[in-house]
Amino acid sequence: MRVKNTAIEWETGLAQQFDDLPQQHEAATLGMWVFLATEILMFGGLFTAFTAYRATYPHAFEVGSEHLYRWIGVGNTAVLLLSSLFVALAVHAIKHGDNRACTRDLVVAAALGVVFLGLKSIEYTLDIREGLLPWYHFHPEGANDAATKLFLVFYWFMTGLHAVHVTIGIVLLLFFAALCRRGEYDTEWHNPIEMVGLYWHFVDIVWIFLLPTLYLIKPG
Amino acid sequence: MNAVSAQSGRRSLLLIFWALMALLALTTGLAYVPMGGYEVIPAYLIAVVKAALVVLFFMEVKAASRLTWVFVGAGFVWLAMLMLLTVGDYLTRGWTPSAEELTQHNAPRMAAPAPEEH
Amino acid sequence: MTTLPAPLSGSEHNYLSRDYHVLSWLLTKDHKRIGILYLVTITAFFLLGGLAATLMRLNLLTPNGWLVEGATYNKLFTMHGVIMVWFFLVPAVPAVIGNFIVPLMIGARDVAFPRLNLLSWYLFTIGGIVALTAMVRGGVDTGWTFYTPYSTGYANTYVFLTATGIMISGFSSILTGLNFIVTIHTMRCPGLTWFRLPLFLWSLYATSIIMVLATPVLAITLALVAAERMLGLGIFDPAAGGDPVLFQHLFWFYSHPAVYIMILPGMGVVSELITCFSRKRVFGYSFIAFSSLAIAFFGFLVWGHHMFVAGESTYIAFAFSLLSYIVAVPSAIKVFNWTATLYKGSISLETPMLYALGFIGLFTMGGLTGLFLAALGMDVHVHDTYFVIAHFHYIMVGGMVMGYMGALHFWWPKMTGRMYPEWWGRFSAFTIFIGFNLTFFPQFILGYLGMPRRYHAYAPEFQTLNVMSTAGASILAVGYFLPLCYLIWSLRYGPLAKANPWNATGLEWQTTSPPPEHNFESIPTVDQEAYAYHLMEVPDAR
Ligand SMILES: [Cu+2]
Repeated sequence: MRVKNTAIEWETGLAQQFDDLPQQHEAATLGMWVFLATEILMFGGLFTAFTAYRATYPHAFEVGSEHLYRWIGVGNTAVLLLSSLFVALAVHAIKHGDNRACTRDLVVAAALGVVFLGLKSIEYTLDIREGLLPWYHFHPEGANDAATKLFLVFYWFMTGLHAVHVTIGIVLLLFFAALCRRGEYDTEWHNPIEMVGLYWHFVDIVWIFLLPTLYLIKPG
Repeated sequence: MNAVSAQSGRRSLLLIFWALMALLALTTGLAYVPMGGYEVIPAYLIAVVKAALVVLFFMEVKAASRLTWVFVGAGFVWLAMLMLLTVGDYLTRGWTPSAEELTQHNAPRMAAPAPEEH
Repeated sequence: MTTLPAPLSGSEHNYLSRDYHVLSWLLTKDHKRIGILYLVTITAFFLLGGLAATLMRLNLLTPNGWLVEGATYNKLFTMHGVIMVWFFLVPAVPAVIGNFIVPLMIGARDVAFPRLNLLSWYLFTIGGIVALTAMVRGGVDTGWTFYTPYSTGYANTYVFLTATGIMISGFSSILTGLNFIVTIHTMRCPGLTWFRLPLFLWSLYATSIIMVLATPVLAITLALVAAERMLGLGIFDPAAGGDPVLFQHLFWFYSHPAVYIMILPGMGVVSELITCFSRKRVFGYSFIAFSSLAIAFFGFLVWGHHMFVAGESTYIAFAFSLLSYIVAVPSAIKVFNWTATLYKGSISLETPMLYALGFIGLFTMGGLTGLFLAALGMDVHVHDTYFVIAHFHYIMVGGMVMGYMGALHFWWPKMTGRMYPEWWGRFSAFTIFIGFNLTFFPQFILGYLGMPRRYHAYAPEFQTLNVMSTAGASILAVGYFLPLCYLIWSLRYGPLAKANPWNATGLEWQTTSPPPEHNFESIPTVDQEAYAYHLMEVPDAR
């Protein structure tokens, strides 16, 4: 069914440049995926640089990886996977018209995001105390060579950029949870929830790759 | 009917989550098994599988239009181009003999015409 | 599309006359007004970039560089490159012409995300202001390529600020690309299938793909450069274990495809102009359409040809050289198809057509000399000489600026509702063509003879050719200055334009000139291919 776009329809969330909600939904989904493709390439530049140096200094990168807190990295992966689950449940709930469940799941997902950042801050603090910050009292135990430093530069850069994404994600999740609580969304109209969900899953995927890249290099 | 599909939908999401957790346990465990420099292969393979599960089920790409598939693929294909050609440079740099190697190797031949070879 | 609507003109309720308040421009979500905002902004940047070029050419009149010192010269060519690449060529056709024309061409009310569209103009302008601030405060001397380790460790100029400006404007081009992709996919009017799309849209679609997939790599690379410069991390510093060549990989992964961001839209324009002014359907529609996508794809696999002598491995250089030749195929397909379209057409040489023909000739020269540079052995000889400068100016200026000027003249009546003086239009098109060739053809010879780029002084035997080049640049400057004058003049004194002054196909010509705020009185439908000039009744004299 094609709804003619008139002023009355705007209240349902239909923007005026579109003919109907399905068209708007298609545009929003496609736009989000194009944006995520952009993000893939942005992180991809870092992964590429990292891999080039890892190919050059395989041993030093193992040594660098040894300095990291593997269990915090693994634990954080579990936290993010769980929060991804809750976002997926939230989208699922709103599709079935359950506003309350959707709001609750979004808030839980955001809370798990905060847990992630909390663990990450603890890890960062420990790292700094051990002198792993390349531009501030850099003195890692054992091998203190240029290549180990390069590893740590990328560690900070990649996890830092990821943490920025997590922070933005938490804000978005809470914002849309609030709108959802106010009853803005229903089975018909819930584009923004789906979009923020896609973004959050993407942030999760980046971490899924950061785990083996940074934490799981050195066997044993 | 709606309630039933809601139930089953939730259950399959939970199932995916537990699969992801199992893979996380697996990849962490494998990190303690030395594989003579090839550890990187299972580690990234598992990461790819995990990412695929998230993309297909959490992000609902499995049920999405072909167009979405194309753009999901594009991101990764383009990354592969960047990665392969760049890292390809680093991996093949060692193949070229250095100047010293060349001169050492060719020294006798350059000094005097090489004896006839077959 | 078979019948032309009665010529409407000077509609009372067009997008320009809707509201005259400044805020109605600065807060507009109308794609047409955003296009005009971009037009004004990039024209300003073009003049600045042109000014830098003028000073450089004047300085090169004598072998010892009489006008500026070496350090100033370095800043001038950096300024010229940065402004022309990121603040003129990349946004020129997509952000000005594309923004204005895409929704009209597909029969939509607007782009898919009008607010993002406005945001992208703001990002662009802010990025531009940041980069300009760097230039005003003392400039940058790294060249537009920001090669490490010079840019990260040694340059004493405003690298950080300039890189930040470019990064910000990069996000603007990502948003533009994203908007076009989604708009073209989801907002075509009924009956407008992919294979009925004007070829301009195919080329803009391919351009958008490059914008969204290449620009993020530039952004993250510049972020690494900025971080290294501020914190001394050694990411690209050989003394600290880093590899400067890695910077070049990442930079050219963006910047080679960026060449196609700059040329593909021009190719799209040419497909529109050639068909319209030879009154023929286009030859090999699907070949031209798919060659755009092929260029966008293969364009990503060739970046290493900028690094043949930079220290990349011989083996990867070999692969990059081969792949570079592959890109020549889709480019050549386009040129052949345009030529075939011209064959037996009833050609009329109006101003836009002159630019289109100029594009084809000059682009072909630029493309063929590109093959010289893609050849491993030849490149060693002409690398970093004026041969390279001449080559890419034939593509960027001879190709893209020609395409942009053609587009501007072609759609000017639609954008402003006014006609420009045709005689002056043709006169300046000729002037630009002659000035361009006189400027850059000698540079091929200079480069082949071994004159390196980026020096403020040169060996005395190169003087004659350099004087020729500077003379050509003066003519070129006149050629660019004239349209600026008569186009502005036409805004007030030009005759009112009809809805379809060129009797062109395409939905944008079915609405009034200038169009109403929401483009069409009623949503149009399409029932035939693009460029159905063979089915079109030509009304008497234009
Ligand atoms: Cu190139």
